[in-house]
Amino acid sequence: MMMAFRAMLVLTLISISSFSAKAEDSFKAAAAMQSVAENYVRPSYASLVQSTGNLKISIEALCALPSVAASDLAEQNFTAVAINWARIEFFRSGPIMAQNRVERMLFFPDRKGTGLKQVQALIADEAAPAPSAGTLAERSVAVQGLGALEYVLFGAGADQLAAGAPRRCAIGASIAENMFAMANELEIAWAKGSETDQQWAIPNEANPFARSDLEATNLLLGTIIHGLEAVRDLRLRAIFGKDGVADKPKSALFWRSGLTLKMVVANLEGARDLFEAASLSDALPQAQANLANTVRFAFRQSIKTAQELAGPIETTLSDPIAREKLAYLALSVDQLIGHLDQEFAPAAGLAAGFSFGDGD
Amino acid sequence: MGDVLFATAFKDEHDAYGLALLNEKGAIISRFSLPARGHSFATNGFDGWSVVFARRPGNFALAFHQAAKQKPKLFHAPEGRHFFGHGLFVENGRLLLATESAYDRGDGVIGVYDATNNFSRVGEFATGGIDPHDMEMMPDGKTLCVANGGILTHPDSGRQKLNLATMQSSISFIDVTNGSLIAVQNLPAHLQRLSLRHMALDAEGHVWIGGQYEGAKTDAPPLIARIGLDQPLEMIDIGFEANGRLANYVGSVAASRDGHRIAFTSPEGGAAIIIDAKSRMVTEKQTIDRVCAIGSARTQFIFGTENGKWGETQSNIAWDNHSAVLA
Repeated sequence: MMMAFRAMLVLTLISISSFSAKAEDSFKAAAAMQSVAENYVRPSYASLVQSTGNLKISIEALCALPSVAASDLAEQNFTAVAINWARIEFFRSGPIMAQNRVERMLFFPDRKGTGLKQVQALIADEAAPAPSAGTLAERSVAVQGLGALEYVLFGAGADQLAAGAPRRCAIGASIAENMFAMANELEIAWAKGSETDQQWAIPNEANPFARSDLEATNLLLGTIIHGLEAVRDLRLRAIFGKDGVADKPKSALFWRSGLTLKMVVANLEGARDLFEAASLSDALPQAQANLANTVRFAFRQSIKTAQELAGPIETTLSDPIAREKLAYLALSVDQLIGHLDQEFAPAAGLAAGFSFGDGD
Repeated sequence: MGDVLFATAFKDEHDAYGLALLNEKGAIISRFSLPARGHSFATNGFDGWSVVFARRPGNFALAFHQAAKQKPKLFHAPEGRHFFGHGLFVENGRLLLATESAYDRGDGVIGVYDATNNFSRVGEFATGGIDPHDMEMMPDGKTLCVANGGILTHPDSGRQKLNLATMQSSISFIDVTNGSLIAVQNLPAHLQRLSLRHMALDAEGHVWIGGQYEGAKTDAPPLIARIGLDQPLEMIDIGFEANGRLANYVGSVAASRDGHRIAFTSPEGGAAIIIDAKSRMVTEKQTIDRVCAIGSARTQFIFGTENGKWGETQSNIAWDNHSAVLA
């Protein structure tokens, strides 16, 4: 009720204030916000709808007629969904932030193995009926989404799927259907002209996303920086042991399916796509326009390095040369963050490093 | 009557971190270097010591002497603990309490340090939640009120938030004479994504708390709460417009010297809101870009910004989140 009331009031205020706002004040930021919706958010969620739909169908087919080919197809479609998700994973605005959707799409990190234990228990509990997608959506975030499905398709006992493992397969189908439903919700919520799209489109006093051009720049750049920080801290640095402790390949995202570094590639590509969709280079003064190319170069370097490492994480960590390259990748992402936070942000009129309040 | 002296952490034009002592007009009286970004303070300690804590997940603290009688003392949280950035002195300034994370378990603790013995650590007790942030001593002088922010972090994951889907913020009352937990009050389920973090005590002994919301920006949850030793946790309705100015993020809370007014700032919203503690009404709303630090001067609040403003004085120093009154 509280949320609906605010949404209604915001829409009203937008329509009123759009007459009084100076067009030239908000034109660039409004164009950037609209371009992000048009060229980044909507295509990304559309891909997610398509790939989760394919995944759902392929797992249902696997359940109906188990075979190695059907199992392989389900695994391929899992990879497609994971990569599509990674491209927009760190865009944390709009309906993705409601109803725990972020965690229901991917619960990670799972430091205490909560998700693993719950999924294992769910598969083992032959006495209870396999949960439907609707039932699953009401349960713990740990038994939903890509993390749970990776265990179903690639974890211990997953090889039985090709020969027929009805309960395990049905659980996988429900997880996929639940993700398909969420992807549809996101696509509908961001459709052109929707409430979210209208709220997002024009920075002004009543806009909950950004009340001014500067806030819009802050939001877009902050989204990119926070995403890159998560990649650096949760997907790369967290894998390495330190102070004499061994590396932790099994704490890496998707180590079972070998997608750890492919996810990093897609995360980085997604961040780069957001940077370009927002035309953030336009936020720079002419004298510092070259900073955009510095950022682009840093993106290319990081993406190229991640692509070269895109094998199973255990193999990467056990090869000293590849491991060193992985450490370089973490450093490269860190430098990219530095370019954005310490150079780009102040040049664009934002405070370096202090602008992205995060829980203190 | 001399100048009021404030302490505030900062980042300077060379990206160096430090702590400044400054007056009401923003003139820097002295400054100390810090190894990384500082956060908040404990003041009025034994023999004139005050302490600035590292911002989470830092593990350093610097004890400093406003009169420069002695050299600053750098000390650290022990292995397996890091500071959350806030603390206070008890026992006539002889013991320092600091909010900390026992990060391998994820639990919140209050670390206890002996100010009379080079701030050596002498113990700890549980806060009854995770992510303890700010705290206040209640007027009875023995009950500690702690804001458990509820957000799980771990130094291995930098500042990443690891449990937003299941986070649970709460307010704890703790008997500091024996470290026992007296009561824990949780937020209701519909505010599951609200993290209670900063607080200030009013003249009547109520604690006012500011929260940060981890859900969708389009939500408009209440951000301000109040609690007392004999009063349950209640959310305060400050009106839609004032609440909107806070942009789902209260960065700092402070009480006026007489305890009758409470100030709340939001760097996200670029706003300062002042509430009359007795009537609970908003009496003042200011628009201040990137404001966070609040200095309680004799008759008014002074606001510091990350853009270098301290009150009306502009400098090239980015003022950090909090300010404390030293004299």
